[in-house]
Amino acid sequence: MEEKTKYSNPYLMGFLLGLLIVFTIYLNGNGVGASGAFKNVVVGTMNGIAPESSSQLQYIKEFNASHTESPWKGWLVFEVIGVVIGGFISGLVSNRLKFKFDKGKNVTSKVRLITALIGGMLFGIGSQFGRGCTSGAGLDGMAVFSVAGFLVTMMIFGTGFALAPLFKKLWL
Amino acid sequence: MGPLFPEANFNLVLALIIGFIFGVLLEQAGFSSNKKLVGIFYGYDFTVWRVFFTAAITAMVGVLTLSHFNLLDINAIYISPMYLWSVIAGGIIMGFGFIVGGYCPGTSLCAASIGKLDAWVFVLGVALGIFVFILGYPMVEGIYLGSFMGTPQIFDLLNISMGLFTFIIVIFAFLSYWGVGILERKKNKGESYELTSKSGFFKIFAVAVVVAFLSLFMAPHKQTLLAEFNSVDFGKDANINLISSDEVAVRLLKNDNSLQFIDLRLPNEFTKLALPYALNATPEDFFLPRVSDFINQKQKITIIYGSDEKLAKKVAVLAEKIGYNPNKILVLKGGFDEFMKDIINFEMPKEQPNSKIVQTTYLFRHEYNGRIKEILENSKPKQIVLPKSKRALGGCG
Repeated sequence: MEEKTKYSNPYLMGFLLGLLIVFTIYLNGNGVGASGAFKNVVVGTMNGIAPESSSQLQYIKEFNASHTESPWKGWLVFEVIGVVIGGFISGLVSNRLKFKFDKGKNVTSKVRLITALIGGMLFGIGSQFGRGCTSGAGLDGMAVFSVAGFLVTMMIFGTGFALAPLFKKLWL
Repeated sequence: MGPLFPEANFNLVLALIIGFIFGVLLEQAGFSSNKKLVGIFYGYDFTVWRVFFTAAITAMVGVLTLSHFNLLDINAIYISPMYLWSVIAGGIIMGFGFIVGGYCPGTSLCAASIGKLDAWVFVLGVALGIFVFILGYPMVEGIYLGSFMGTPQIFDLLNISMGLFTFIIVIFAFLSYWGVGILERKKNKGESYELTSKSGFFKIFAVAVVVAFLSLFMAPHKQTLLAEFNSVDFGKDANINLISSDEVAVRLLKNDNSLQFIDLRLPNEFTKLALPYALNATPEDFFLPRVSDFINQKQKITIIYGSDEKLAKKVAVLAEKIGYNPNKILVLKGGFDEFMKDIINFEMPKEQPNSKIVQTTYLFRHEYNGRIKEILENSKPKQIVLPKSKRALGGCG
C-alpha cells in the first residue's frame, strides 16, 4: 500500500478522460480507441509485404472497401502514437521510466512473456469480434449509450472476474 | 453542430494531441501497471473501476448535454453496432486476454511507453492476434456478421428516457464507489486506494447528484422538438403564410423560378404526380442537410404541401423552431388534393357564378388546367433519390 499516492486521483482522471471522449465525439463522431489502430497497422503491413495475397483475404477486402485512404493514415494510428508519447512524458514527469518485467512475485520472466503474448493475442482476436477493445468498444460505446458498449464491457470484466481464481498464481 | 468531421480521417495533428492526452491520463491513473489493472479482478484495487466508470458517466452526461443544447447531432455519431454473439464472444475472449495478459490494448501501449518489457510483448501479441483473426476470418464470418440487431441504445432497450437512464447510472456509479471502497478495505487490512478524503468524496458526490438531477430534464434537442411536433396541439394557433392553388398555378405558367416545393406525402403518392421538381421529405428530414440545403438556397421560396394542409402547417411551425427563416416558407392552402380538385381536374360548374372574380378564376382554371397538368407530367419525379447517411464512419473494430 505504500505505492498508493504515486498515482493521480482516479475520479479526476476519469472525469478528464470522459471530457476527452466527449470532445473527440464532438469532433469526429467517434471516441478514443486503441485496437483499431493495431488493425490499421497489421493491415498496412500485410498490404505492404504481400499486397497480392493479402488483397485476396476476405477480411482485408472488407477493410479496403470501407477505407478509402491508406491504413497508415487512419486517425487512430496517429492517436496511438500520441498515446505512446503521452504515456512516456507522464512516466518521465512522475519518475516511472524503467525497463523491467512487470509481473507477479511468483512468476518467472519467461512465464510472464508467454502470458503477455497469449493475453495480447486473445485481446487482438477478441477486439475483432467485439469491434473494438475496452476503450473503443467498451468506454466509447457506453459514452453513446450503445447496448453493444455496455454488453462488451460487462463481458470483458465479467470474464475477468470469473477466471481470476484460475490465474491467481500469475498475479498474487 | 457536432460532429464537426464525420469522415473518419480528420486532422491528424489533432489526433496526435487527443492521443497524447489519452496517454497521459491512462498513465497518471496508474494503468501502465498490470498489477493495478488486474487488482479489480482480485478485489484489492478498484482504481480501474473508479476511472473507467467516472469516464463513462462523464461522457454520457456530456453527450446528453451537448445534444440537449443542439450542439451534437445524436443521429450522426458512431453507435457501435450490435452483433449479439460476436459482441459476447469478443467480450469473453478479451476478458480472458485481460486476466492472462494483464493489460488491454490501450493500457499496454502506455505501459510499453514507460519501459515495461512484458507490455512490448503484449503489444506484439495484439498485432499477432489480429493477424490470426484475418487469416481465420472465413471460419468465423458467420459469427462476426450474424445476429445483427442494429445500433440499439440502452435507454430504448429499457424503455426509459435518456435523461432518466443518465440519472440512474450516475447515482449507481457513486454508490458503487462507496461499495468498492468497503471491498478494498476488507482485502487490504483496512486500507483503500480511495485517494479522496471523506469530505472531498461527499463534495464530489453532491455535485454528481445535482448533475444527475439536471440530466432528468434533458433530452436530445431533436427528440424534444419531434415529441412536441407529434402532440395534437402543436402549431395550432401559429400564423402560417398560405399560398392558394390558383396562385401556384399562375406562377407555374409564368415559369417563376423563385418557387420550389417540398412534398410531404408518401413516396408512392409522390412518384405518381407531384408539383414540379418537388423534394419528397418527411418531417424528420427537416433536421438533415438534404432539406436544409434545399430550403436555404438564395432567392428561393419553398412551398410545403401534403395531401391536405394540416401536416404542412405543422411542419412549417417545426421548421421555424428548428431555425429556418419563416419568410422563406409557405404552405399550399388545401394541400395537393385541393390543387388536384381545383386546377388539374377542374370542371366548370353548371350554374353561373355570382361574382366577377369567381367567374374569372373559373375561366382561368378551365383554360389552363391542361397546360398545368402537362407541366406536372413533364417534371414528374422518376425515382426518389435516397439521402446518403451522414452518420460518422469508423469505430474501433
